[in-house]
Amino acid sequence: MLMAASGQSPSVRSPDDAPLWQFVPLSDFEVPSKPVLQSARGRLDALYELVRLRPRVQEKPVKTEDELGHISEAELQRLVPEPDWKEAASALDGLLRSGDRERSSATMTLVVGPPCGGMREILNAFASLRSVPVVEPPSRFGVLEKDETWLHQLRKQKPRWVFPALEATFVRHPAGLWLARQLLGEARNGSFGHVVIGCDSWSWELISRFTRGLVGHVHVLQAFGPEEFSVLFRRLAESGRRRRPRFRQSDNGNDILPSPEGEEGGSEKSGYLQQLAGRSRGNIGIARVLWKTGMQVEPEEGSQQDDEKGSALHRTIWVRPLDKLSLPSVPSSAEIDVTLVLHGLLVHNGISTELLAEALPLSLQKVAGLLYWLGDEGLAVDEGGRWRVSPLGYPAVRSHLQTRGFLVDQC
Amino acid sequence: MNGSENVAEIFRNVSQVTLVQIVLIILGAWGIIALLARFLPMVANRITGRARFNVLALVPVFRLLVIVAAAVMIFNLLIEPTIENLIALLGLIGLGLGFAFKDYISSLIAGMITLYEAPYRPGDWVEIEGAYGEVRAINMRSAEIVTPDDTVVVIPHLTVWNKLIYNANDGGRNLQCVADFYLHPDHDGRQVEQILYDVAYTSAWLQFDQPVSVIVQEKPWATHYRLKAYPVDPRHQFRFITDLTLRGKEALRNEEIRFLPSPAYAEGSEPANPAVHAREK
Repeated sequence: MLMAASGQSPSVRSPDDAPLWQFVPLSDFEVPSKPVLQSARGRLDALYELVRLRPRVQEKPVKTEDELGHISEAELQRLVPEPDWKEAASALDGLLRSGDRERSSATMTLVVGPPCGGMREILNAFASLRSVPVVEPPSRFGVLEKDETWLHQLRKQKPRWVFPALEATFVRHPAGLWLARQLLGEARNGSFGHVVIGCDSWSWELISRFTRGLVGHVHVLQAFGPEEFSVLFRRLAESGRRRRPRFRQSDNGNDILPSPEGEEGGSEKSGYLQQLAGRSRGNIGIARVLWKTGMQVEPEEGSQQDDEKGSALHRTIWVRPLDKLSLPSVPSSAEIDVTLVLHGLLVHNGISTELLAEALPLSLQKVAGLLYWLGDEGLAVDEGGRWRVSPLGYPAVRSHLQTRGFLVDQC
Repeated sequence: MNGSENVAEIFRNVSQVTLVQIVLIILGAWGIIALLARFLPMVANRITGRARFNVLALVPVFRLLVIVAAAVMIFNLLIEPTIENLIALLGLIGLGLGFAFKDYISSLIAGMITLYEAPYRPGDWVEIEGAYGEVRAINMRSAEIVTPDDTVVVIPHLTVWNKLIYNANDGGRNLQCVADFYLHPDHDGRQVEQILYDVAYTSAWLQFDQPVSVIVQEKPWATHYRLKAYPVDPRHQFRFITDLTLRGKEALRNEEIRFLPSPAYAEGSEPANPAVHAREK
């Protein structure tokens, strides 16, 4: 899946120096396939859940839970820091420069990305790279009240800007569509000059239904496959430390990433990253959270002091397999109102309780109660009054909505 | 040899052991049927989409298979399984019961035909002789539907011979719903059409795989708009229609578009059952 930023031809993976980031038309987006075994297990687990039978008996792992302990948050941050979004921004820049030559008349570029996929960070880095301003989103209450102040201010902006949050211009309400329509219409006509607009993939799936024809080309960051995750996690682990530890699967002891240079080992290759890519659908943000959540260390392992950081450095990180993680799940018996709330959170990419009640055919009290319940279940998080689906709960929520026939994104 | 002796010859000597076996077969068949009738709907109600209907449809099929298997086993215990014996016995049963239970037998046969032709399956939303509801069970002689008011209506399969059966979703999840709006004729039709499309697209119940459409008809007393769309699941049709209606009213009133009552309402006659009314559109 690794290709040059221009995205012209696929190339054989060249681990460390190959470009990781690739933007492609939305129609060319490919989700990494789940391993057959993982798919079969997933179906079997769903069947168990359906008929409420006991879970399958598992083989004894190489490292049991009792032998392993948690890693400190600081250590996790050093092992899996934020990716360098400038690289992705450069890939986008390269794509747009080649596109500009081909389609000089194009006045608007739309980039969509899945929740937690880093699209907003990439567009912020892109704006820095091109030295253009980033437009702040309007108030969603203002959208419902048909307040045109934000749009007037936008018209006074310089002719080049980046707006990374198209989803903030709409509410799923009959009175909440006008601003997204107006913005995309004027951007397409060239009223704003050359602009780059970002949108959450769930929101775009809905917005595209009522703005047909207004947007031509839509780009998306290609999903990461196991090779890309291998390179990314190695780079991240090496960026915050002097020496990268071994990452081994706690159930079978297999190495997940190639062993660090000059170190023996290199047991049988693990299928973990293939499973991770399938479970996260190649979404960097979701994969990072799942990767971090599974990490454990042996408390009694001979750890050495890091002179610079002053914290323990473990030589081996044991990673729990994905099917051993206790991730949030949506009960199959969940009432339909729960499904409506989860879908409402995703199509707005996070929303306040009051606005969600406006968007759904549910009372404010009902919505508030369900959000608290979802928070307790680990499926939603409250970020300063704005509720979102939690990164750990996202795979389960997406699967739940898809099986119930609700509109889902393409990413 | 007289007739009664002929009949007696068909049957084997039924010992006590044979009687116990017959009772056990009947009890076993009854137990399996009861188990399936409870287990399969429980599983079906935890899944959605096409799979739900497929699982529900298995109930009557399995029941028929179990009954046929039990009947074969019992006949095998009671009579010598020769062609002559079978013909004689079936003739006897047909003669004896045919007149007394004509409608009952007809319903049983129609029940078997419904399994093959499937004019309705469990999970379908049907209207038969004015009763509208979801098919909850298909028994040997009759089907049970549950109306939106939670009333069970038992409909003999006999009705498939000569009555019209309206099936709103026909074994799938696509069930069209209609919300009606009667507006004062003096308005911008294009604006209203756009508003109604937006109302449908912003409904949380909308199924996007199916089209949304707005049909307009000019009446002598009002402009009649029909907003047609599909919910994500047929079971949510009434909440969907309610949502379309309430949001539509709110959005139209915000644009100061006036509503008009229908003449039927104005004359005091009862409006039709909204569910049937929706389906008829």
